[in-house]
Amino acid sequence: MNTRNPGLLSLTAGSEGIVLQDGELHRFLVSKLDTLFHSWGYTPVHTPMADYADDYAETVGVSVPPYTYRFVDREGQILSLRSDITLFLVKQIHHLLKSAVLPLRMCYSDSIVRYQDAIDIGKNEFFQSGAELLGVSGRDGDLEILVLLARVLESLDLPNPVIHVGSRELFDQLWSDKNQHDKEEARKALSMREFRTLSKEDQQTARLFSFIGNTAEFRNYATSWSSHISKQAQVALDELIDRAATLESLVPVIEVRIDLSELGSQGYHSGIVFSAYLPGADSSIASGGRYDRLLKNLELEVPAIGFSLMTSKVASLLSPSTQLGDYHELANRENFEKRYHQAEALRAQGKKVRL
Amino acid sequence: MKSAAEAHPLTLALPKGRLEQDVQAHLAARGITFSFENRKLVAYDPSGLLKIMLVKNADLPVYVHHGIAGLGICGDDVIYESGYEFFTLADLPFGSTKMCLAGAKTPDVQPREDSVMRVATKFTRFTRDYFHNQGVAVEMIKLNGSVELAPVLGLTPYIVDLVETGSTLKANNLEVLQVLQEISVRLIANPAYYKYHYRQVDAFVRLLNQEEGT
Repeated sequence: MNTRNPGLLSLTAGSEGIVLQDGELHRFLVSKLDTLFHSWGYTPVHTPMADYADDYAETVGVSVPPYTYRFVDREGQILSLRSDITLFLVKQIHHLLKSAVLPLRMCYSDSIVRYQDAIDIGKNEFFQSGAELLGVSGRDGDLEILVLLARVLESLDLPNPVIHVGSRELFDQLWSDKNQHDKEEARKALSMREFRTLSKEDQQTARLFSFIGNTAEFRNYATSWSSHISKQAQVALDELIDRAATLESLVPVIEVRIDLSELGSQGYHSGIVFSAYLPGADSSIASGGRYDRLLKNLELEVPAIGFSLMTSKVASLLSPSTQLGDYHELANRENFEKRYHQAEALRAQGKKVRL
Repeated sequence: MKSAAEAHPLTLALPKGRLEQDVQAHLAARGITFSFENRKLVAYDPSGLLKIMLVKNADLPVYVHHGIAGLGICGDDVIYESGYEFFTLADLPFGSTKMCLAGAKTPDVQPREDSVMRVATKFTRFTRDYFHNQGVAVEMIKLNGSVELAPVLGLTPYIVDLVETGSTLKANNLEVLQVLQEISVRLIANPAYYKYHYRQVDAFVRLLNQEEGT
């Protein structure tokens, strides 16, 4: 079959445009987030679209994810396109952190590019908004980011969102005697709830990680584990209960669940980790956690925690009640100057007017 | 009162073909009955627990991956070949089979021992990964059906395919050379779907795992 204008009609995989009403909805969402982030004292940052890929394994201690597009520049260096904003951000600002006045609160809304098969409607997200808090350790840092995420979900009037909170620290404590490879295999198995694939010895502990439920249910469940886990693990468990219970009390309209199979998607995660889910979403709509380890790789003792929100996924699931409001069309078809003045008067009343 | 997560039926994709009757019988024995009327491909069970979608076996993981169906029932072969990741919630006691390497009982031309293994199969992902894990280089050609013809007609000396009784192999003068993997039928879930609806899904899994008539 001869195809006409194949280049014109082919849609690139791994990236997407957002146009017309979708574009308006997207900007509405981003501007809502910007307003919220701004009111919490978060300043916007923009990361570059491309960065040197080889540097990541060497300097950040994390390989560029496999779904990243890479290419060779004119000097023969391998560059990667931005596929994860947190990673790019940390690489960009780490040299500033040595002399920065902490804490730093940053927010972003930017596009990302991820590989996807040309014949698969991607589940990938191509736009992320998020917030990063650097320099606040422990309870205050954890709660600031968790509550900010809950407030984001609440302010967007999303239909019945839930936040699942887990503890990478608890996992690290309970698997502390394992080598890195076995630990990573166990993390993957627990995240995928493949409890049977673990060794018999690990299956005992894995039973703890099968739990999902509210804080009250978890308190009862966790009591029976107290005599089986180390002091450090107990501290992690208590911290998790505290964070979830406090989040529940501060933002009661958002359902909070303790879910120990939430272990963070990245190797650099530590401490509290979490994801948000919505009915009808094919994957989590937001995720994040503490990542002190990532900055340690850069020889920085700076605590860090943040989250990113899958903006396009969220836009497609906004409540039908999310009204963007109609444009005011001027009936007057007289000369431009008159229409302009009329429009300005209406705009001053908060109306959206097309000339 | 039902929570927001429990207000709607669970969505379950079922595969057309060999597993369809087995799944229906398994569910019926646990009180879940349904039928697809007038060639419709979507049905509801009268209790309101399930919305059931009938899809092509190989497409089932696609529907679950994209969350169109939250749950699905299919074999390990289909799950692996899709390349997607799911939560595996239950093994079902029917439909098990074997993924096998097969070839001619008495090949016309004996493949050279030092030559690259050439295999015809529908299961290219599984075949590549299996032999690579064994340290064996493999050349594949993808066929969509009647894979047994490949050695018979001289396309490749070997095939990788599902073998239940072995009667088709026997009829074509082929034999199983190696069982590569036992294949079971599983209940799978889209991870985000499971996380959101875990209470409802866990209750359904308990029902599926019940002994008949209890």
